[in-house]
Amino acid sequence: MAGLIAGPFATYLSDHRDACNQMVIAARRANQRFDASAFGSALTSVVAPAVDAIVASGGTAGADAAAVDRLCAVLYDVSLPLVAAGAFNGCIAEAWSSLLPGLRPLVLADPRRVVTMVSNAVDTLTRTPGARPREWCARMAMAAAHLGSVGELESTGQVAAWRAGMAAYRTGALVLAERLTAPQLAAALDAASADLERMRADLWWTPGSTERVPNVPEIASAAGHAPIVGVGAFVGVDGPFRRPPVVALDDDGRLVASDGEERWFVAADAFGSAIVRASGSPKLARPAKRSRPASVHHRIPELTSWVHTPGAWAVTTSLSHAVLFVRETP
Amino acid sequence: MPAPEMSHVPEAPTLPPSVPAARAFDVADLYQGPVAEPVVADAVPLDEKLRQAYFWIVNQAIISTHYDIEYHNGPSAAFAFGDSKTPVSLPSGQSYSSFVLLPLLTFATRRRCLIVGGPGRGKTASATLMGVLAGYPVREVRRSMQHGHPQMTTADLLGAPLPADLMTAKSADDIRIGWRSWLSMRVRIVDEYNRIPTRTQSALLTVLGDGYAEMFDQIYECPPGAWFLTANDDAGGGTYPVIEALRDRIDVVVQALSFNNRFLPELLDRVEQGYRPEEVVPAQIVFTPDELDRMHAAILAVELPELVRRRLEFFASQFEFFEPAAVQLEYMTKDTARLAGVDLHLLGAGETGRDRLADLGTQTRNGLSVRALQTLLIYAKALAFFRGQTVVGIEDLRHVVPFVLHDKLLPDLDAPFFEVPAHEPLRVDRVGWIRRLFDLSCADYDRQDLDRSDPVADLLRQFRAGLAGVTETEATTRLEAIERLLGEWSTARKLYGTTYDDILVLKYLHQRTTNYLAWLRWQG
Repeated sequence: MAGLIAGPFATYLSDHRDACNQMVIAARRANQRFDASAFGSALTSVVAPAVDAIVASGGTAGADAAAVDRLCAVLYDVSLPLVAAGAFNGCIAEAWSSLLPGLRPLVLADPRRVVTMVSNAVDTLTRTPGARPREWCARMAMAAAHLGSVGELESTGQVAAWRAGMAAYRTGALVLAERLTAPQLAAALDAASADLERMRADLWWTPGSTERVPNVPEIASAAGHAPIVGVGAFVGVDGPFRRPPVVALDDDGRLVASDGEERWFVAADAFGSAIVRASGSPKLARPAKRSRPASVHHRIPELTSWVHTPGAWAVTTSLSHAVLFVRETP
Repeated sequence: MPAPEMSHVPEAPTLPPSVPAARAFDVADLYQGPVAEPVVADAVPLDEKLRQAYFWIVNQAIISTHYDIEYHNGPSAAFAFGDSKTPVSLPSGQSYSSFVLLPLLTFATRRRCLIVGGPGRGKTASATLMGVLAGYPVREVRRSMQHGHPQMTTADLLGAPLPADLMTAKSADDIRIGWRSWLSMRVRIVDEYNRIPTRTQSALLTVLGDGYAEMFDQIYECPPGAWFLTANDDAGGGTYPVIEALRDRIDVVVQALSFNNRFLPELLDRVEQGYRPEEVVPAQIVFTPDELDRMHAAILAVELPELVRRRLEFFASQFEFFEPAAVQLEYMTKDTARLAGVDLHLLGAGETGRDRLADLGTQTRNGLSVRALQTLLIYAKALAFFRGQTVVGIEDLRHVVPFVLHDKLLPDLDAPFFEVPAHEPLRVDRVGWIRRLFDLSCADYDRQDLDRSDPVADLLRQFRAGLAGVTETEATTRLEAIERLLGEWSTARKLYGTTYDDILVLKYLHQRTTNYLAWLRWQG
């Protein structure tokens, strides 16, 4: 049996009973799958404790009543679409209870924006195969004390997301990382600003580590050889490709894979991998007439295409539905 | 209690582009998710906001299932029903309900819309919604609505002189008028306008047509705004006949189509919860005066390309020409016959030589006015703007033509076209008839291949480039070209409306060039 709601959130619900009930009715009408009982449980087990934790995290410096009221309203309002989307799962609930209290000044100053950002970010990480939302929350919790504005929270969160498996964000995150303070950078990336140059040059280097073991699943690894990692799979096993793909760079230098029917942007590095449908049909650059890479050729038969990326060869073979990244020997 | 979901405007774009923008990896995507960011009003483009308003009305307020303005992006499934083979197509492009769309375009262009249809079909509700979209509280919109009735006086409509001034004034100039507040609104609604007495209709005509009200030598200038008039019966069944000039000032006529009974649950919900749609209009789709001004300017800035304009010119030129009305070409118009008070059929009896079934001009009793043409241009631009386009397409024009010309192009029901059994319904289906007229005109335009070969357009283009600097030899060459063209036509062509217009243009060009040549020669 769920416990009773007490504290400031109970007061808020009592004061705004009609409006709150009306919002639930609206959510049920807008989405037939909205589960009112799940929402009730979420209020008891997540929202009320989060309010308590955020308020209590200020110690003796209590928040003013209006700010708490605003916080309660936002948490109630934001939890509706999360429950409706079935996204109020463990990770988001954990982020509310563990991360939001650490962000107390920002949460109380702009609750709508901060709660929305944290919730959506955790949801994005949760939905991305291979990404690690709990790692993101832990990094953001470390950075929390060093975040002076919502803008800093936004940038640090984006850099930390790259580190937590969102390889697709690499280019943007590297730009943002230059603007972070040293403590923010350390929390988000385990890196110092001096490390950024090397990270830019080598997709597979992890700051603070001598190993170059990627987070992407390895297909083959043998003594004396760099591991091969694969990104993408056959459409029948939830991958994107109908046929073994080929790779090329587009005019903007992005890696594009094509299975003859559709094109996909492919990204992979030490932190993760990603494939996004290139709906705008990117223009491919003319392939350079280069001989097959010797370091790859003898390990992967029937190569069909190859592109050099910082620190690795991206290659395809007629024997696989994945884009293979073969790291260069340092 | 109002249904709260009615106040919801979906975040999804109302008209996603057919070719999606190239997606790439964007670090900003991290914060996109199930929780929506608060929408900043200025972040929504005005055409998107207008579409949001349309979809809210059509799905939540008026609930119209009549998607009669069809757009096709590629092949569309089509079916035929019954012995009459009534065609039903499932448009592959985003299509619209004229009953909601035309009032909305009127709102955006600040024009004048007449909504006709039987009682209880949402005519007044639709007009009221337009007032609410302009930012007025529902109560103010309802209070400002003018309800036509047989005893309505000019004072009821416009206002009344201040009694104290009537007693003390030494001249009419001294009499101040207490103008009715509705005159200053950006949306003006006249309910059942065909119940207004004729004299009061004349006062309405001045306000509606010229934008000012006059009483006791006092003038009140009305700000730009949209007009919505309703009528249960526009075919003369009102208490008073509508004066022709007032009818002519109305820019579009749209019919309120019937309610689809499958949507009774939505009505039940309103009954049970006791609310009306106009009371729960979402704030996101309410336009500020500044937005209305900007939207109007943006609509006027939509480009109307020459290829579309030429088709409209070709279509419009079909109707005014009436050969038996005069012996001199310039007077061979239906207006000449009308002014003489003579029935067209009495004059047309002896007419020979033309295919009366193919001649679109025989289907109408009048031609198009300049006002009608300007209205067509504006509504075509407005529809293109509404669809997120910067250039008017031929389909945009095709879709607005029937509603703009609804009361402006009068059918001649004795014409051979209407005697064809398959055309029988077009005697009463004014929208279908005008759309058919436009399609037939476009087919004729294509048959003549005028997009690629139009010597009159070439000569006009040459002329519009200016005569300054044209040599005597060049001017003479142009005159010869005009005479040669007329010579060819005189032997090979019968006189149709389009030929009539072109001959007059050629005569005009010939005259202008002749005058220029005379000036050149005078200069020596």
